[in-house]
Amino acid sequence: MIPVTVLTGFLGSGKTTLLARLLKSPELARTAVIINEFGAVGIDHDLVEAGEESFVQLETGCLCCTIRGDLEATMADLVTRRSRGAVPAFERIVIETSGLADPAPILNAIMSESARGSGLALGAVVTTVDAVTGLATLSREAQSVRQVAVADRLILTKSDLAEQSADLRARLAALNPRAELSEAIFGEIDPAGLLDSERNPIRDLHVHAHHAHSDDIQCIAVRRDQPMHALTLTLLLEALADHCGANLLRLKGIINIAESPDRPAVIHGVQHVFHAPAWLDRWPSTDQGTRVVMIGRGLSEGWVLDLIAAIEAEIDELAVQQTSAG
Amino acid sequence: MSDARTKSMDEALLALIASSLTMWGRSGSARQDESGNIIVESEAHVVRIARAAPGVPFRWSITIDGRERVASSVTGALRVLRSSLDPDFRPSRVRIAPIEITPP
Repeated sequence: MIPVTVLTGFLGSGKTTLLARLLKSPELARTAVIINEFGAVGIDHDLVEAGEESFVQLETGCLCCTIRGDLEATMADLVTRRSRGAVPAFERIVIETSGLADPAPILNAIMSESARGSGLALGAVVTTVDAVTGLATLSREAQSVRQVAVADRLILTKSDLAEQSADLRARLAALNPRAELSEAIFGEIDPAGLLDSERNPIRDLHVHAHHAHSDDIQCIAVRRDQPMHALTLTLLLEALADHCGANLLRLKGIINIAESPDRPAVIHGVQHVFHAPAWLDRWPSTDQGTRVVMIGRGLSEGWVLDLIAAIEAEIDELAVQQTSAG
Repeated sequence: MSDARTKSMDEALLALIASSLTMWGRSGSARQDESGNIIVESEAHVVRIARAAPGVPFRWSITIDGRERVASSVTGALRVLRSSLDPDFRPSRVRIAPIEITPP
């Protein structure tokens, strides 16, 4: 699978600078880049040096709304040209969103392409936050809150210019306690960390006892130690799509399936779109409990646990009925 | 059907409805009547959730203010319940295909 990393962040937060630096590192040499600029005249592409063949600029609209279809077509086209040898065999795609983009529809588009069997998979979501203006931006711009909330990695930019960023760090931790926070000074950051996010999308799936509430976006964590039936997972995802839908900015989880005790299923979801579960070869650690992290509005950990319990009870009841009838 | 299993299912469904009402921002309560049916009273609506009769191709009968609807699973019953209580509810048109029981 080819991971698709989404690089997002509010206007002026240093996405292009960061991407330009990252693409100069050997670790990211085989990277196809899709840049989205909002405006009639794009300049970001001139600031990023990447192979001409595997570089695509999408402009005159924002990825999350007017040209989402273009993004899906662009990704599919890149994969097709790669398989024909028309472009270098890139190992990943990085999408730099416009600063005004809501990342959720973009993640949706990636997952839709993945579901079509394109060979693409959602990698990491990397969000840049300006250390100087980030706090004010988060207070003023709802879109910047969403960009932070769905991130796997938060990168604090321009921290060389900011005297004190403790308040900003606290705000980021409240909005997204599971994201890894690092700093980039003049766009310099260790590319190995970014690659790590791509390869291990569930590495940070630790379940914390506390909930984070900020700007009405919550991050809830659900843990269940008993295995669940595969059918329970299907019905659970369907119910989440029904009842959480657009309020579910992002979901990721590792599931202990009763029928597959040695190979856990990994699930990803954005709004009402869910990846087909991926099966790991083995448990990544000694912790073999089901863990699901959900980010969004109006979510309830207790409701999810009650839902799983009711579905499991119904499946158990049906099994008893079938045994009695047989 | 064993009594223990039935009680477990009923308890689980009652707990789910209670937490669902809270999550949906609906006032009301759920209880079990003497026949074992679940009665949900919420904002002038009365909903009765009963097991369907044996031999029919669905599992739940949901009577909302006197009108009957059916569902084939507890998640389907939950969808019907919310549709009856929440005029703004728009269930997803997406249906998740059953996952493979074992890894490929």
